[in-house]
Amino acid sequence: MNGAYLLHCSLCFRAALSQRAAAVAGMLTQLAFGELRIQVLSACYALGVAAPGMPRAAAMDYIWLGQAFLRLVPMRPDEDLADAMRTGALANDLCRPVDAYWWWWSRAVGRLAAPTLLRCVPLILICFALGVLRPPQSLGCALASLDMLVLALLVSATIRVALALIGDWGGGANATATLGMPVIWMLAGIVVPLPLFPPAVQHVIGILPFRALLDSPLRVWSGDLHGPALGWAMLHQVVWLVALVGFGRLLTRRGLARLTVQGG
Amino acid sequence: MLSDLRHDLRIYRFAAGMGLRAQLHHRRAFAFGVIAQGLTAVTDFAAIVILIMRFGAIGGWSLPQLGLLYGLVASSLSLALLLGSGIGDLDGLLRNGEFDRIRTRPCGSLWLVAGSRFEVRRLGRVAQGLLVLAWAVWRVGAMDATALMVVAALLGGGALFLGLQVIQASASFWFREGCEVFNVFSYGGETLGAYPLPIFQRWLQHLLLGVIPVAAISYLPALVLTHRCAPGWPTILAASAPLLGVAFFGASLMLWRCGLRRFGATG
Repeated sequence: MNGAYLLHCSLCFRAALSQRAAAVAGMLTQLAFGELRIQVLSACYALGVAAPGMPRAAAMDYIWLGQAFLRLVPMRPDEDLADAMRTGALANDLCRPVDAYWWWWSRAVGRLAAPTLLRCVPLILICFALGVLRPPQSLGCALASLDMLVLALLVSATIRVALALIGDWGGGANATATLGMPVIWMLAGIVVPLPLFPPAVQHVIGILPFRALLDSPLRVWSGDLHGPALGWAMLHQVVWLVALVGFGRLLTRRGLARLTVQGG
Repeated sequence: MLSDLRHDLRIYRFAAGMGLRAQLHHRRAFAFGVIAQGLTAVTDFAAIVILIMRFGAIGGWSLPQLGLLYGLVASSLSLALLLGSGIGDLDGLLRNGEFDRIRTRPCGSLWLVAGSRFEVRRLGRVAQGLLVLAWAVWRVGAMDATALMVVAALLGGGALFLGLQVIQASASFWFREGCEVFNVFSYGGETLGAYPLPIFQRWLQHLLLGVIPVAAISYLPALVLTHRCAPGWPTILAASAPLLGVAFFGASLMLWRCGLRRFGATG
């Protein structure tokens, strides 16, 4: 049975791999935004503040990696699921002899993995070639960072599915999802690296799930996060992954109980 | 020529008004849309606030002064996005043949395209930009011609960002896909325009002054507003910089004409 989900995931992955023109356009955009964010941040570091919360080199790595893995931050609810709910195609999914939630989840993972890979590999290579990005500090850093990027991918797909479920089943509050996006965007660390946020809010940021999407793996790469902090960050990702999957399954069960499929 | 323009403007107002009334029907969705757009924009300004809290004044500009830069550039962009909602969609209109129908109508096609989709929720963005701008002007302190300078900068900025959208749309006459790359210039311009020009590397400064004159509608007017300009010619030059935005819009219209000539209907 598990094979079905894996197969579904890899099929969706391969289908999404074909969208190369969009990936090229996205990469150009992200290179441009990386460069301008770097210039702004360089100007800030040039002011010579004593303890800015993060060393300059780590912050620069963070910006470029953030652009490379931008796709990991959810920008909208899972489109396939949201569309299926709107058009009623959902009924097809329910006819399949599989668990609906895991079916959607495996699709979301596959559909997210493809564009992420298509963008991050060339972007990282370009950054290496330009000499603006340092490789991981050690083999351990590289492996831990890779693990955490995979976890981030799973968390991201789970959040996407959960947002689609909230949107259409949580009292028609599609807007909840829309309102949440900018907050997720900010708290994942895309706009400003999270360690640069004011010390007063660091604890809150540390507990919320959004740093699992981008911030934690990027800081492991640059060696900014190491030792016990690394272990905690990974645990944070796993705990939130489990919790969000549980939440999504709960929403699915409640939604399906209320669902009426029209037509013969 | 002038009566043509008046006719086109009337059509645009008609099309946009129709969109407005249609969207006001779904009140809750409309309200949430407006708030969401406002919130998205808030994160941009929040980034500046966070950096200021960590690093102190950026390039010697305090938070209210940076708010001035941000308010000018963000309001300009959001006004342009509101008024030209439909322009960004031209590639879609070309693909589904809708543009062929637009061409058969006896009025300026750019106006019809712009009015074809009027996204009222973008008012949220406009409101956020204007609020920051008002707060910044209040904190920086108004002077004799503040209102005039701000309005001139907003008009120039609106024209500049509309021009960028027209260029993006015109590009879709030549390129079938990938024209969303041009978004970099709008949104990147917004981000860059929110910081004082001298903090950037030389090539970027030239780009922002000469090629896509974002600095002309935010940095230069803000120099005047914060009394950083020597009186006399420097002030006059900086104050008239927003005209560059209007010139940019004019140039983009010429590109549009070229694209239109190249366009052949598919049906």
